[in-house]
Amino acid sequence: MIIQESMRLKVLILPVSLVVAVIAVIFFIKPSFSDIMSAKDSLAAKQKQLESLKNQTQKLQVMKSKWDAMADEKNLVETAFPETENADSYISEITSKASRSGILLTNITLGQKNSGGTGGNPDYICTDDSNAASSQPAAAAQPPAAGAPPPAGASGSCLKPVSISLSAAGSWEQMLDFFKYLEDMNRISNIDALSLSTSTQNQVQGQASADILSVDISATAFFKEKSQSGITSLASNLAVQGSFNQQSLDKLKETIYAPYDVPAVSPSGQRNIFK
Amino acid sequence: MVTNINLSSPEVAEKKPLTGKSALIFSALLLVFVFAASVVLFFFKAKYAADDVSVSGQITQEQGNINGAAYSDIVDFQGRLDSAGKAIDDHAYWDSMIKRMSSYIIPEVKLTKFSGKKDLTGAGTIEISGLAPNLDAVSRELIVLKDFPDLDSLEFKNAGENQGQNGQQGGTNFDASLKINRSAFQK
Repeated sequence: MIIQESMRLKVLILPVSLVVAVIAVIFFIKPSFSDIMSAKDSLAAKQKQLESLKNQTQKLQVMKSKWDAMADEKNLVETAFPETENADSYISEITSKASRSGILLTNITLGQKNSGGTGGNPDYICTDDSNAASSQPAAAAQPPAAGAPPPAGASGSCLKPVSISLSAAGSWEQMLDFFKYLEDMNRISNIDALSLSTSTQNQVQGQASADILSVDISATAFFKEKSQSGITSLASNLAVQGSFNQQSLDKLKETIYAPYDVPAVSPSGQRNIFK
Repeated sequence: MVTNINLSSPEVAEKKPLTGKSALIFSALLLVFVFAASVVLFFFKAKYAADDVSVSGQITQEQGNINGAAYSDIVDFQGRLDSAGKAIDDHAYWDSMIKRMSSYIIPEVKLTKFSGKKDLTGAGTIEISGLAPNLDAVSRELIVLKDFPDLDSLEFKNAGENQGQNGQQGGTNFDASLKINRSAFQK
């Protein structure tokens, strides 16, 4: 009788172990297997990402070597879009252009343009409310010191504007010369508005009023603070592209190195419209 | 006489049912197999987790390298170039525009004021004030200005007689407002 019961227990252990095995498969082995499969896929994706990043690093390394050899281009870009407001050299360049064209600069007012996010600026202008306009007459000989630290603000891939207002007097030809010089300056500045009129004085040094014109110009120059670390999206894009923005570089060279052509006046029908 | 016929073959008669010992061994093997599978899975799970941590660390390191100080100079340079391109696209050549427009001012008309302003789209509004000897010259000026290339709209206004003071020439004063498109400011 005892032997028979022992036999029954031994035989009963098979279905019990089958049940245990099935439970183990359902509740542990299958989920674990799924986890492993997804971990494997995830790992493969990450390894791919790592490969891509290593590739990008190599490209960046190559670009850095290239960049080290681009002294002229660096200088060109740095002059056109400096890291600081660099007001001294900007004013100096404008006065030099004025003197070269022969006009008489009567006023220069320099200040940071308000770049607060009012939607009134192009998308390449930083929308940073910290740059409150702080106009001050440069004629008062108190421009911001060159190399002064830029105001705190976002240092993304955008430019900070510096507005400049000029007043000048000169002849028609001198004005056209001056506009041309302003457009080709080493420091890129865009003329936003201008107002030309016959001089308010009837006679200036014996010249008729139509010979002397007065002009008010509003222009915008730019600067961009140096970012201390790479902007993630920009760094990734740069690494993916594997080359610098050659198109912009060409445009910059074309603008700055544009050959100067003397304004054609009467012969081609173009004339002093104030006379 | 009764014949005894045995229908079961000797093999069948010898087939033994599953004994307790066999059941025990089979169960043990089954459990060992399940355990071994679990151990293998556990091993792979741990291996993949460790690899994942390692690869994630390397990714973070590489991203740190790319975004870090090592390449900040070239990233900054590229950012400067990107913005520069857009700023240069907005570069307006006022001298070219004025020279072009001067061909559309007839000799009898002389301007007293010329002002212009560019908007965000790159287009601009030009306001001119001028003096013509008579209304006929004003109307001819209107006809000529209408042909100015890149003109979107033209509005003549405030035409009126000017008697001329302090020895200045009299005639007809007029104002005009021209809306010109972006290409007018190109070289």
